[in-house]
Amino acid sequence: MDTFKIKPRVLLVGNPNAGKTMLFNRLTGLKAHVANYPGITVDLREGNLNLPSKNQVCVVDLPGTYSLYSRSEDETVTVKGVLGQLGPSSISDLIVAVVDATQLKRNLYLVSQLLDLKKPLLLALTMMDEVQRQGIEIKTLLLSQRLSVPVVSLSSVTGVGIDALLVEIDQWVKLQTAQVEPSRSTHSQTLHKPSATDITKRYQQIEVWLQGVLKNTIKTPKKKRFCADDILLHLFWGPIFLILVFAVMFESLFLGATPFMNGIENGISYFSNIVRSFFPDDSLIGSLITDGIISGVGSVIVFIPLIAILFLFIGVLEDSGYLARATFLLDRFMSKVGLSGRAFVPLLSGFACAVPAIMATRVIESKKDRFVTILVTPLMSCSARLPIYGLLIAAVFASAPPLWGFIEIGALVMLSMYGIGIIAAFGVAALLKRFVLKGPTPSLILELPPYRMPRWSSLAQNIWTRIWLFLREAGTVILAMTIILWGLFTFPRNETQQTTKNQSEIQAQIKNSYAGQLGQLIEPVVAPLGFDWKISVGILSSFAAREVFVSTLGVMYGLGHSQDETKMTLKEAIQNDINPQTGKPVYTPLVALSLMIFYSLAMQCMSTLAATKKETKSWRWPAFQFSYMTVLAWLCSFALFQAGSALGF
Amino acid sequence: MQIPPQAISNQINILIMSIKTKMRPFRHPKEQRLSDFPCGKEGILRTLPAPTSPEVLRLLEMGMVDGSLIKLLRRGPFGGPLHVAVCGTQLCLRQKEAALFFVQWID
Repeated sequence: MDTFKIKPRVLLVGNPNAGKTMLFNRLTGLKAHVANYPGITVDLREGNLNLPSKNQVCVVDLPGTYSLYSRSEDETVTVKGVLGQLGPSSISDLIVAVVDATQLKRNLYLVSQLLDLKKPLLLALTMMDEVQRQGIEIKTLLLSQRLSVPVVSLSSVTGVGIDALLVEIDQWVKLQTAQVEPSRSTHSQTLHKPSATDITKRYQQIEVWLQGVLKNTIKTPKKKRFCADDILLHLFWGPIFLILVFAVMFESLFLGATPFMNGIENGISYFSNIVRSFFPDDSLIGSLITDGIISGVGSVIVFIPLIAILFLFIGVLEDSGYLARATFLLDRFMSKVGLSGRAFVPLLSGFACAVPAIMATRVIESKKDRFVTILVTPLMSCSARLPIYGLLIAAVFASAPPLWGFIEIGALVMLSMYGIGIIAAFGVAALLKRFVLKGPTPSLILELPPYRMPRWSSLAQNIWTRIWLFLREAGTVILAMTIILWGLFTFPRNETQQTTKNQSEIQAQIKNSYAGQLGQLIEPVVAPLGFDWKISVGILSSFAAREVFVSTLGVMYGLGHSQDETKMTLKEAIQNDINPQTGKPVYTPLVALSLMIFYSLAMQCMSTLAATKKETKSWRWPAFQFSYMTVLAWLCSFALFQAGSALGF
Repeated sequence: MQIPPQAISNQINILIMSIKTKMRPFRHPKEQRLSDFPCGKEGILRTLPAPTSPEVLRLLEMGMVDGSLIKLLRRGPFGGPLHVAVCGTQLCLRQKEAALFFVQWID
């Protein structure tokens, strides 16, 4: 029965940043992450494609490579895929060589290697819209005759030419059903290390292929026009612009998100008060729902606007092509510490989340350099730290007048938290490179992609995906943690004086709860950093996920207010928390800073440790990562708090 | 002061390569290392007869083949990497790799 046959596969192979993933998204209707930077896809991705003839094929998006002689892990995946070593061997593959038509010559090098494999091959020239804008005409028919493979020109952005590609794929599928034995001969020649003469010969061959294929329709020679790189990569203006970009990013992160956050915060406390009114004052269920779930999960949801703005900026940087320029500008620092130039993107994606960032290190060729990058990536402030920074800054620093009238102190504090993470990452990398994972300074070989306008639809899609992930985490891990924490804060219950509880009795009740006892047990360890037992509970709970710190405080202060007064927001609760011994606020600017530094440096993320374990294939490295980061965080907070206290802050 | 062995072997490599280039019969008088080439100038790329380093091989595969036209667009700040236009694309590479390529001036 033919209906149960395994679907034929279509492999998308091509140079990095040739637009394979965008074509993949076009063909399958999936929404994989794309960016204008080489090496975003590091693993293969599969999706289904329905052809016009009702046949279905499996489309595989492979990581980009310049050559079939692989050097890094992501390229090895591609080479294996091309040779048919991935998946069951009975599947027949069609290789679709995705060729960036604006860089035909360089892209054809890989094609010439693919041709040697003698496998079914199809050329897809992408970015034809850009080629036409440049006034260049490509004679696809001539190229097709010379290479004796079908050539389709298309544009994944506009969708022109996709139908022609589908027809070609369809024809191949029909041929497959007629053919009994799929040809899977492996030509091993290209997999050896190529010699310089081999490479030169291939390029000479490409010159022959391309003769008369490219035709410039603009007759007059182009004058040297204004080039954005002249300013953006300028020795002096380049770094200034880079600083400006990040300054604007943090300022808008701070100013732009605040009104939305206040809105959500008020909405949640309004909602909480309504829910509260349905339950009698002493009902445990009512307390679980309002003080536990709504305060706990709600306090985290408040930070969605911050996350959205962060990903908007990261998205614009990626899609515009500026990211590669930033790599160029900052490479000197990277090479000074001995980091590979290719470590820049993993480190930068560390601002979003360390888990995909650690996976992105697969583009780094040398294993030692890759491990160094994996070990320091979690020091970059990820988006899970944003709620903690956001909460503490809003509670402690928001009332401070802006510096020079326009620089918000809060934005400055946030910027310095990110700065501390970056400095720590570079410092640790330098030490690791010097003493643990010694090796030569790696190279940087990076293609600078052309500037492109960010596509707002895919940007919105990406932001929405991130918000959705965040919400899902809030609905699962954080929800579960808040229920556990609510239980730990509520029991053992003081049953004797149920009817009239005043503020101090409630405080005593919380302090005597299981969570309170646990916090007081840990307190001596973190007291030198300026943290009390309440913060200790928060720190303990955030080993599940960092955001849980915020929900812990939410639950704690949610339970901590007496029933007759109106509910305070978490921010107000923090501002009003008074140390009973000294009579001063618990959250002084110094304590807040010490706490934020602790959070920026400490390893409190199980998923990151799991990712490190997966990528290094050993328990040693995640254990090392966990210990060094926690020790570093403790020492830095200790130094700051003790120095600050001695100076009288 | 201790010199790391890597630096010594690098220096030896560069020395051997420069000797090899000197032995080449058609060496143009106006041939310079890519790393020393002036900014904004265009030239013809000359590779060494037998490149061994994997970085050079990678660059060759990316289109920096012997005889192709290359333009050094700019250098990065603080002694950073080089920005070149070659083979229809723009690449950036560190000084160390650029020192392994030669550029012949066009008169």
